[in-house]
Amino acid sequence: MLLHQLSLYQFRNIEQLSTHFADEINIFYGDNAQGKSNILEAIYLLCTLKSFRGSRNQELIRWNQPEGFVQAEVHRREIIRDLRVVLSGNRRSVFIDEKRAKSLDETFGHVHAVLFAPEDLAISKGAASIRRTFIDRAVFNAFPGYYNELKAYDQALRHRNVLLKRDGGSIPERTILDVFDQQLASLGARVMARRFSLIEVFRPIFRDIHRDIAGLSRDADLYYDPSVQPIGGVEESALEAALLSRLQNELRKDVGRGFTSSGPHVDDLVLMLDGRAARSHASQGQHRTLVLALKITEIKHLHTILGVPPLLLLDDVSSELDEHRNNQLMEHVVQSAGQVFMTTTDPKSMRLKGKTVRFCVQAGKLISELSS
Amino acid sequence: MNLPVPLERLVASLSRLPGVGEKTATRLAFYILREKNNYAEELSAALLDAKSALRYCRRCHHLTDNDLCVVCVDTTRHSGPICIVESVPDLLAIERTGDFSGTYHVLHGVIAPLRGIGPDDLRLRSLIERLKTSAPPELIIATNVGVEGEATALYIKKVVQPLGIRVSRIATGIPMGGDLEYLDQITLSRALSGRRDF
Ligand SMILES: Nc1ncnc2c1ncn2[C@@H]1O[C@H](COP(=O)(O)OP(=O)(O)O)[C@@H](O)[C@H]1O
Ligand SMILES: [Mg+2]
Ligand SMILES: [Zn+2]
Repeated sequence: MLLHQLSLYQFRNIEQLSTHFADEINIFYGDNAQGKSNILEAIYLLCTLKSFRGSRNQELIRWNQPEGFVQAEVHRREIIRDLRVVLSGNRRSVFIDEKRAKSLDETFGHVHAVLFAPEDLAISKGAASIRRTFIDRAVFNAFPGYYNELKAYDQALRHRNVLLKRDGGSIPERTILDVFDQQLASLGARVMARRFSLIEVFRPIFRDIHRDIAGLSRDADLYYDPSVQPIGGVEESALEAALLSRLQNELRKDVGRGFTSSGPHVDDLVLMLDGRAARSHASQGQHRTLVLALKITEIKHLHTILGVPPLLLLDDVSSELDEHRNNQLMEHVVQSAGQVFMTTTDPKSMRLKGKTVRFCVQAGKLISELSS
Repeated sequence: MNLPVPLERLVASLSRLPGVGEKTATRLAFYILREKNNYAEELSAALLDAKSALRYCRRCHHLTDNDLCVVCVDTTRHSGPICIVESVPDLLAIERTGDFSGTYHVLHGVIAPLRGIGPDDLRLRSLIERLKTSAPPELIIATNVGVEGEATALYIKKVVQPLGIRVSRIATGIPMGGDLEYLDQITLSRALSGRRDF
């Protein structure tokens, strides 16, 4: 998968920009607050329709402008497509080859990117919700329909929570509660089953890569830690039965708290290092290595699913990694990733094999271009 | 820009319509005012007439200008199944297929605690009364496929169970002539997980 050409218009601090990229490595360098990450954000927006900073249109469109767009020419296998995301008011519309895409379904699946930014350290150190988001995105990459399954579970959950609170601490009417318990159990079982099988695929890849980066003496592992232990297997039907009986058993407690205590919305992904939970035991450097291994796993997984490597977006990563890990990252990058886009304040720290183009970014403009 | 008050009132009323924004409302308002041949009088008379003449069918809650709707007055349909739908547009969609020869029951909503809608806000009590006085051979639940439609279907199944009536749910799956390759992922996933013995 290759991004050949990119144009931005009234996006963040970039008034207008149009450029071609190298098939291998593209480096954006320059001082802070010049617009380097904004360019990566625009590429990410083309892939996901989302900002990786969670920003709304109002923040993405250049100040005092009514609208903006991001456009790119994407090559995948032999096929070339023109993608454009137009930001206007609160709307994000997608055009594929100048034709308005009718559904989100049509939109996704044209470009895939994996982002690695300093904040990603939180996947290892931070709250469980960050790890759930990580797994959910990986599942979504393999099964686009998962997006709706997850949304349906969340909706059923919010309905049930309203029922728990509605009668001021007394047990809600049984029939209506049963209906939502059943829905929550069946939708929740689907979510759990998808996550379990994803982790099954991730685990061996992750362990290998980690060993590669950290050395043979370090043993990393990961497993899905459900709030409801499945009895007799992780098939959907077994998970559904386990969830349903938990919801019923915890009803009194849930009414007291005003929310549903158990289910995939509180589950976690546990990273282990040498037999201990990494979250509480790993050092800063070990967290970095774990996250690095997870990200590379994500890239390899996508590569397998898509048949082509995804784009890799590295935002200020070299400043976060020491020299050894940086070299390891770059080696894997060159091996497994396709096209790479990275930002840095220090272009000299990037020692890379492969065709490289360096763009100097200043005040929202590309002021020079150096190929090597 | 300040519009004359009567015009602003008209724009405000029109923009309350679903799918109509301020801009469209303004365009419609100017159109109504400009049209000749008493269009404004005609439109307001039609609105008032529809509002005062239309009511819900005593039996199934479909729209009608009589005591019973066009479906319910046809007694040949009374021995067929009862099809439960969320809304009148859904009823009309099924009616257009020409394949259904029973009668309907319009709920006028779905169960949605998040929006404060419970079973008592739907036309469910009258359904139970109807089922008690004349049991149909089958109850087809045709609420939409989604969390709320599904919850409503499950709820109806539970409250109807004691009456011993056969209950079915409309199928979701692959449309006729649907090429698997071009089907959206969600429809395909759903069809796969809802597969049946063959
Ligand atoms: N909507 C916007 N309109 C104009 N400028 C913006 C907008 N959003 C962010 N900026 C500016 O973009 C700059 C940050 O760009 P960024 O790409 O994050 O910097 P860096 O080069 O350090 O990665 C800041 O100067 C910020 O004020
Ligand atoms: Mg930056
Ligand atoms: Zn009727």
